[in-house]
Amino acid sequence: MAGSNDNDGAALDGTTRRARIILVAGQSSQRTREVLDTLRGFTNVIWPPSLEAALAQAGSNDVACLVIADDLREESIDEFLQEARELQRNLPIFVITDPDDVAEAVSAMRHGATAVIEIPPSYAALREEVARAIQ
Amino acid sequence: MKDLPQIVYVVDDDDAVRDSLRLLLKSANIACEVHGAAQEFLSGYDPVQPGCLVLDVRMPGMSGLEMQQELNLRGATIPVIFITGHGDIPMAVEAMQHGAFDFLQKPFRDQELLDRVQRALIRDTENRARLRHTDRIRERLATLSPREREVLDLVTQGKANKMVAGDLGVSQRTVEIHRAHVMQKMEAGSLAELVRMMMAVAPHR
Amino acid sequence: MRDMGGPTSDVLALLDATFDAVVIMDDRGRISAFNRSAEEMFGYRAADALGRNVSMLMTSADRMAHDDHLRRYLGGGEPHILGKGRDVRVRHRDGSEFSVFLSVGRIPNSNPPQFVGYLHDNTLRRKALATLERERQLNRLYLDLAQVMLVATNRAGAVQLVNQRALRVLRVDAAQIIDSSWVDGCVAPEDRGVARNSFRALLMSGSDEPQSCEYHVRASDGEDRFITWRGVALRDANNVATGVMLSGEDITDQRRAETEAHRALERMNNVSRLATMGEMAAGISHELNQPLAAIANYAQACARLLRMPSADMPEISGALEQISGQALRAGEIIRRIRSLVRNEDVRRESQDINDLIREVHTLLASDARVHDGRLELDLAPVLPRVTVDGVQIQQVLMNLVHNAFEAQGTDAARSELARIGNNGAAFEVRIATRPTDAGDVEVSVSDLGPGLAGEVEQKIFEPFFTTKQTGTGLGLAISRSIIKAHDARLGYRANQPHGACFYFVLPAHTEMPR
Repeated sequence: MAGSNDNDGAALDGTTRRARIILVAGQSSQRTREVLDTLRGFTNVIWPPSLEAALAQAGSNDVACLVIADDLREESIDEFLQEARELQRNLPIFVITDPDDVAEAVSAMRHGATAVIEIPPSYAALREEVARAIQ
Repeated sequence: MKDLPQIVYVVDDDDAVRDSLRLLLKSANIACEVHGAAQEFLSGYDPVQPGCLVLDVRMPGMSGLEMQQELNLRGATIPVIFITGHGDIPMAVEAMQHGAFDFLQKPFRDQELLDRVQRALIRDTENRARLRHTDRIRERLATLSPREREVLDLVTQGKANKMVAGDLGVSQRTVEIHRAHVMQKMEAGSLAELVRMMMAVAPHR
Repeated sequence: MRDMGGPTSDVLALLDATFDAVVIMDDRGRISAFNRSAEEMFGYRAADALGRNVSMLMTSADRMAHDDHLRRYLGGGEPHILGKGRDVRVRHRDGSEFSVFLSVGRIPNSNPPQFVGYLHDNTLRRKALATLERERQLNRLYLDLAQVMLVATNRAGAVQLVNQRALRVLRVDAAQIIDSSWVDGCVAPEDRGVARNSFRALLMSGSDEPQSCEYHVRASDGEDRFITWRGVALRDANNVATGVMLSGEDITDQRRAETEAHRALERMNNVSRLATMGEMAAGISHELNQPLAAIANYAQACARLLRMPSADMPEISGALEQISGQALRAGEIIRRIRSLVRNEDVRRESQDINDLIREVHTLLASDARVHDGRLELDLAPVLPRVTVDGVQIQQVLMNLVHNAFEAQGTDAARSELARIGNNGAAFEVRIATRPTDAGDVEVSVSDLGPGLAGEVEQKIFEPFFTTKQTGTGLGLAISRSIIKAHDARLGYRANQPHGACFYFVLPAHTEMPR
């Protein structure tokens, strides 16, 4: 398809997506703040205030990727992850974990994460994944 | 084939770990077969054998990840549980991205392993059932004539018979007849069921 | 000698035989005897001297004094000129003046009184004394200018002589230590035994070869200085030792610097060792997790088996044996790691290098596995033993092997290997031992990686040079210094057909340690 670099660029599954929004989900916590801090160089970073708002955003075509920084107040990372995955089969979803928490990482992968990133220390890896997703 | 009992395959180069896993599975009344190297397992593996794999990541010669890729190439769907004495998140993520079913760090609690083995065995059963199901759908698809196939595709896209007639340049009556044959050959009770069948065999990411 | 009514001819003959000049005069100072030596001394023939006043022999200053003395003596005063000898200046016939040593005596039972004067030519003696004094002063200068401490003692060990430098180091005045015991007064208490032994050895040795030893002296303010001494025995004419002469250099600061440097090297050593161990942490945790996993599995399996109606005894007892075996396996790994990170004093012992290699093989193999590589051992079956600090040699091996795996795993290395045409071969590192022709032991660590590029090969042993992103750059420098301390050299050569090889040759163990 033509014009893959402009607003009407085609996504992998053929749907047209103005995929610019970086969606960050997670309760107000230090880890979420660290994630938002790390993504400060990017434009269009949205951090919805509630579960409903987050899910609403996750379903839209404007979202380039979803970063789940922490549990939501209402439910766990894995639960939210599963719901988001059902809304969007092909959305890149990155889950943030504490370092060396392999069990949490594996669980996130089983529930549909695209990749798991340890914060700290992998701030650069997070930025790389997000940059790749918004291309 | 569904009458074959499930076997848990353990592949780990460390003698003590391998033997202790054998005993653990035996104590849980789970049938198992142990191997000390990837090649040893691969040379004797028959994909019709139901079960799951408990696989060490780092082994001399062919590693666990390499063996998983080899299985992918062969189109095997046996669920793989990776175990490792030195694991980190990047390794776990890579294994999962390549289709691993689960990933455990040594040492682990027996219940942890056994739970995951049980889940993997269930997944294997589901996989095989789905495979048989799609195999059957494909078998039935193969009995359709080219025209019937065309009708099927257009109808499952949601088009009304009139539109289909227009697309194919035939009469609506013809379409209705083809459609009836398709429903019969595919053993579908409704359009919705037909759509589900097509989705089941369609390639999806 | 002609007389004029003076001494008898026998006496005169005697007088002629003496070396000293003899002049006899009467109570008016007239010369009545003038012997041969006097003739030679003053340049007058006796005939010309006899009858004349003795003052002709004196310088003008003395002449007047002499008359006074004589008058006073004759007048019953004190005999100023009698008895004691003194230096006087006299006059030669040719007018030149010189010094003599004069003693005058009254001839007993002579009436009127006659006096005899003995004149001793002390020019030589004076010259000798002067020379001696000059020499002494020069020696004093030498002693005091010298940068070394100089101390001389007598047989009993009492200080007889000490130079400025020594006094400065000891912070005393000469008076405070002259005639006191050197050892008890100046040597630091814990070194007195050494000092006494060396003193005795010097006195008893038959040779004049200087002997060396080292010990601390204690200054007056309590500070100890470390001195390296050279000593000789002082001997008299019969070659009997009369004392000892010591020359010492204060090497306290040098010693301190050496100790500090040694400690700094030890610290760097430890840092590097810990850093290597840290880099190998992945392998280590892998090694420990294996036996732990086996133990957990076996124990939990036994628990389940015991809950069954008929317990499978052979399996259970087999499992229990395995559990203890695996626990020991884990303990062995931990022990090995502990010994590798412990700060131990250097201990050189006779070892079999192959055993040392086998001891760390498990750890090195797991490091290999973590790098998706393979470790091969190519150990000569028969090797002479070597005298080494086992832990340090193992540290060198760990460093070399770990480096080899790290080097092969980089992207640059992989592309270089692809360029050479060696794709996808498992990374192999080989440790080999073999005896050399000279009977020593060569140890080499080689790989089939890309090898070292020319300019890297020059710098590879430099401290802080590293090609790794997170390397300290110390590992090879420290490995080299460890091997150097073992009288060997850590070298590099290219491996065939490609790759790197680091090697060192250890001298075979000899019965007498160095």
